[in-house]
Amino acid sequence: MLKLFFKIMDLDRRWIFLMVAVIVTIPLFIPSNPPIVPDRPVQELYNFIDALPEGTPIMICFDYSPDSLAELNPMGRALVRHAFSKNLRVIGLALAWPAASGLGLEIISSSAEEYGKIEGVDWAYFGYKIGYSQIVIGMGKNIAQTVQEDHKGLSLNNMEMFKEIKNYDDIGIVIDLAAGGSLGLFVTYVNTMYNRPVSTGVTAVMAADYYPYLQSGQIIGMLNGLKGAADYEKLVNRKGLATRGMASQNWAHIMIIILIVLGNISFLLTKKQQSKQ
Amino acid sequence: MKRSLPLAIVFIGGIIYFFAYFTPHYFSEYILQQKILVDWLKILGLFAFVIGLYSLIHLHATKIKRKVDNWQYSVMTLTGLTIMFIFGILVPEKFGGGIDQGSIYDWIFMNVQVPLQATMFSLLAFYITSAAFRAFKARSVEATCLLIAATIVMLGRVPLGESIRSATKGFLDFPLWTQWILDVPNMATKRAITFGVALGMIATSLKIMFGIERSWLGGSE
Repeated sequence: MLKLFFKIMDLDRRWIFLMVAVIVTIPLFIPSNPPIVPDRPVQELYNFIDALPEGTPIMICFDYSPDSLAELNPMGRALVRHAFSKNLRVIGLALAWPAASGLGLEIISSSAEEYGKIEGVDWAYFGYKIGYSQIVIGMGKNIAQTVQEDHKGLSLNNMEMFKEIKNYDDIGIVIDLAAGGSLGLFVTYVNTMYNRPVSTGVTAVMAADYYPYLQSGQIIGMLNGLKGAADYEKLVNRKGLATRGMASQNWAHIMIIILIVLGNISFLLTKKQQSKQ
Repeated sequence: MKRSLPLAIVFIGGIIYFFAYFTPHYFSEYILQQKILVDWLKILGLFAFVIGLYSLIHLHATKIKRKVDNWQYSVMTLTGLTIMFIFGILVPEKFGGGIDQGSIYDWIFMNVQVPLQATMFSLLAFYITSAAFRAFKARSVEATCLLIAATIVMLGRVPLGESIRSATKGFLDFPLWTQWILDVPNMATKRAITFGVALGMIATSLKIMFGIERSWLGGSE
């Protein structure tokens, strides 16, 4: 028995890599219905958006690059679908990563097509804008003046949508989908300086950092990693990639826990043996 | 002059921004919200972009010229850069050029860059699993606490946690325990760290503004 544990400990890591690959890949191809109960922060954001009056614009900032799209793309899609299903208007932009520009546009334009929404009337996309904090601050005074043009180079002043939308006061909520520290900017300026509601969707590794903002009420709800995205998909009743991914994540976590347990048993056995000697 | 001018700019800029943010006077708002600042940042960003582009080309061209280890990757980098430049800027829109949806540039971005970057990041799962197996040991009381908390959170964040809760009629409520860990000990710790970092940032900013910390100026003089 002891020998078996020591053998497990000496397992070539390539076997572990292979196990991870198998365990993560197979569930993606097997239809499943994992039990998903939305977390409280996800429910809070959903409730807030759901209660916004028809026609209210929401702003989504796509602050991530393709590295993190597995977690953040499904969040963006679920949020945009929820907004369009409630006849809310959507404004999208990218501030932190130039590569996010194409990702955000794909999410909003494809969802708009599903719901028959018109660009310039029901939604607008600014693309990547250089200026970061200054753009966030400037939009508090005048969005059209600060951003000037949308992703196609069309002036915001000529868009029907921006005849009614001047600054954050006209926006229901600003949501930052972040793979970096960009949320801090939105909390500092949009929430603290302009006193407007802010929320976020972040990768699971970052989520722990933002619980103080959640507790203080500086952000309304939060989508935390793939689970947060799957929770939101459940709430909007549109299963997507996040729900499918939860089966993979489920098995991956089980495997990690089993490996940790095995590793610790062998560690304790080794320790015992050493103390005997 | 070489040192005093940058120091003066940093001092004046820092003071203006500091007071502009903390005073609700209309003049503060006027300064913070001016479009001219956005334009300045765009210009600065453009200069940084030119320097970055030159640096990237110079670095990889040198690697290829000297045939250093893995120089082939540099060829790939420069080829990618050239292809995106050609299709994004040089090729007319009627031939699939430009950067809009449906362009060749967009197709390459969506079908090459996106999957490659996503793949690179997903490698983390393999290394984390291997590292958890080899290094996550209950060597001390603190490590054991971390181990237990991590196991609870890992179970609470997946459907298995929900299944266990249902099967045990809420006795083993991993999702609830996970939320408590995140809401209470995690939140308290993170808040303490945030305060510490903020105080450190204020101290460093003041040192830079008043010229006490000058390493950012470069050089040893």
